[in-house]
Amino acid sequence: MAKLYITKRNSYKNIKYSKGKIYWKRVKQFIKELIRCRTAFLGAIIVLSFILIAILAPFVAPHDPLKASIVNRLRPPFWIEGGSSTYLLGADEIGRDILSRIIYGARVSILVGLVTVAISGFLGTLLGSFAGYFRGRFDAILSRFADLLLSFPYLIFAIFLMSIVGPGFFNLIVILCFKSWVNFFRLSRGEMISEKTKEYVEAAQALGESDIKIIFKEILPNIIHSLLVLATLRVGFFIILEASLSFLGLGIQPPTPAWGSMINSGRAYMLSAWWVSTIPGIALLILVLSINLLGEGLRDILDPRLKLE
Amino acid sequence: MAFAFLGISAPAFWLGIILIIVFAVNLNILPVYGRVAFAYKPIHITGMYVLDSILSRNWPALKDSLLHLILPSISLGAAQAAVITRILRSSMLEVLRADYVTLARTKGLSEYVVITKHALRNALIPTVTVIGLQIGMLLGGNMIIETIFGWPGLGRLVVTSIFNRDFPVVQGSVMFYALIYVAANLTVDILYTYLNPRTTI
Repeated sequence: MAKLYITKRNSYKNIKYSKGKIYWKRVKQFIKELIRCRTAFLGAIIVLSFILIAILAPFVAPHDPLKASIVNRLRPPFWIEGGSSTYLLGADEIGRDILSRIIYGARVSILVGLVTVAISGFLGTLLGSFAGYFRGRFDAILSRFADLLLSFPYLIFAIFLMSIVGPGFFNLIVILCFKSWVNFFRLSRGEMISEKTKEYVEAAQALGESDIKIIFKEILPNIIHSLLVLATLRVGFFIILEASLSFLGLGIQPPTPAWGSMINSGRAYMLSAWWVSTIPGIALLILVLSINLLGEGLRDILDPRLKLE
Repeated sequence: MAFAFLGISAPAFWLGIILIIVFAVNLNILPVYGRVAFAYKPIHITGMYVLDSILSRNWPALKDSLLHLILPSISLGAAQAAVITRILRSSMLEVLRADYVTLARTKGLSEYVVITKHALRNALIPTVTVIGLQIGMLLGGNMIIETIFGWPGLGRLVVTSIFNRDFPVVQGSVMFYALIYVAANLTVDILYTYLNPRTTI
């Protein structure tokens, strides 16, 4: 009777389950679901094309964005009479081509949005995970500090800090990160607190795994979905915030093209040359709209899967 | 939902500029600049022009103040309206799946009563939280809209005093913002007890 147990010890070699293959399968499934959700796919395409245009800006832009030409001052876009085909979207008040400035301004906006979200997301998630897992005084101090930071209106806080440290790209990113890590902190802390009550954490603790390993290997992959959605939506918010700061004259200084300062310089010509203010705003609107569509699509894709898994 | 997305994506200052260009320049029906036309300025009782014109029964002044209010409110409110739309929609979707909604429908109540009396009341709870937060947010940091529409407001005062290094003014304004924020959240908490009678403050 004992011979009925046939053990095939070499059968493990036939199962090719490497970690990389599982992740690649998941990525392909994710892309397939993204294509199925049409608005999110549209958003993704537009965002990717913006990023591509921003990277290839020196090759795509028809003119130099800093070259002023007084002859072409306030030239209208090509569909209005008086416009020429060399200045496709018109020229601003000292004759710089608006299309080229939009393309170069996309660089600044996208860079600010992505870098701010990356830094503050990383920092906020780290701090929030540790605060939510370990609780105690560390958590209390950080939460009070986060509430303190949240009590200021965002723009006033940013203006205040900018007036102290001065304008500039690096200063702008530091100041934006200063306040934005709080969102990621609160989200990851809340998720960590609710995940910590689940059984698999108890099981990992019983197995004797160190706390840090539990945080990074067990819990964090489960909360990364909502963090990704938040990160995508915050990119749009930071692009608008950077445009607001440039509009006020802080942030990116002219003559470096930035969409906010283009809208600001067009304010004096609102009655006669409306295109100087309107067209950069349309570009901003399209970019942030597609980022929001992508974020909403991500939320739709990632959340139901989270419930099924 | 398209409106909601557009409202979130459009920056408020750009929307204000577009509204100015469309309404004031081309259509010429809504006034653009300032709080009230100089000829219609009501007597100073509280300093708030709509309230003053109601209190002094100055109906042309009331009409003029309200007309001047429209464009700034739209450009500020579009983004907030979009946020409220999204939150209310997602909480309504959740509430409409509950059992008591099915019960109300099987009882034969009209759809209107089901939605407003039973579902909306529960769906409003997270929405009211967001509205309270938004009141706090709206009362601070509107420097850009005030600059565009020419309203001499608190945001402009704060930013001007920041640029002039007038720190006591900044301190006072920040305290005022905190006070308004706390008052708004307190009102929201009190509203909770009305919406959900099981909660107590």
